[in-house]
Amino acid sequence: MPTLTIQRVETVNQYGENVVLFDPHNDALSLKMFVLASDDLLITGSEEENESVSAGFQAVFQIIDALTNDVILNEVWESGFLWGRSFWISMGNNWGPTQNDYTTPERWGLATNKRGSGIFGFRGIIRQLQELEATFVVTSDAFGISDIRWFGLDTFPFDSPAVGTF
Amino acid sequence: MSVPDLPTREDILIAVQHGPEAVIALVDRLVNQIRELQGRPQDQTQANAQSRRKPFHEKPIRAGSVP
Repeated sequence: MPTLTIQRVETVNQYGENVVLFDPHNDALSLKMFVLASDDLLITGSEEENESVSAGFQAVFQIIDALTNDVILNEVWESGFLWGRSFWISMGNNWGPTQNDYTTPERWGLATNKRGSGIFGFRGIIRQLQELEATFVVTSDAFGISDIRWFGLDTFPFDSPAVGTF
Repeated sequence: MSVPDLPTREDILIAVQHGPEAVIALVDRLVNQIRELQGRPQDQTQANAQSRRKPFHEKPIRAGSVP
C-alpha cells in the first residue's frame, strides 16, 4: 500500500539551527519537512512503465496564526520524487549569501500588530500526485500531515493600538 | 502619450499566487499608469503605501536526500 508521511517539520534559522524564537526582521526562517515515501510510490508511473507519466508529490507549507487559528499562509510546491524515498524539502532562504537575502518572518508576512499574536505554527502537508500529459492526477490515498510546530517572534509592537475586539 | 505596460495573464496569475500584497501592488501600478495617461498626479496615498511595502520576496525551495 503506498504511503507518504512527514516524519517531522523544523523551523530553521540562518545558523542551521532548529529553533522556535525568531527576530522578525533579521533572522532567517526556513520551513523544512522530512518526508518518507514507500517504494511502490516511487515506482508507480516510472518512466520505464510509461514515458508520459511521472510520479510526484504536492507539498504544502502552511503557517497558522495562534491568535485566530487561521491558516495565514499556504505555499504549494509540486515536484517529482527526485531524492529517493527519504528526503527533505525546505522553503525560505536561510543561507544568504547576505542577510538581505534571508526570508525573514517579516518577509513571510508575519510582522503583525495584533495584540496577543506573535506565535505561529508551521504545518506541512504532502500528497501523492502523478503528472499525466501535463495534468496532475491523484492515483493513491497516500498523503501525510505533520504535527504543528509552534514558533514565536521575539519582538512585536506591545504598545500598538489593539486591532479587533478583545 | 505612452502605452501602459499592461500585465499579462501570467503576471496576474503569479501575483495571485503570491498573495494579496502582490495583487494590490499590481493594481496600484495599473491605476497610477492610468492616472499618468490622464495627466493626473499619482495618488499620494497609493504612492506612500507602495513605498512602505517591501517588494515581494521569493521563497526559494531546497531539497535533498536523507542518508
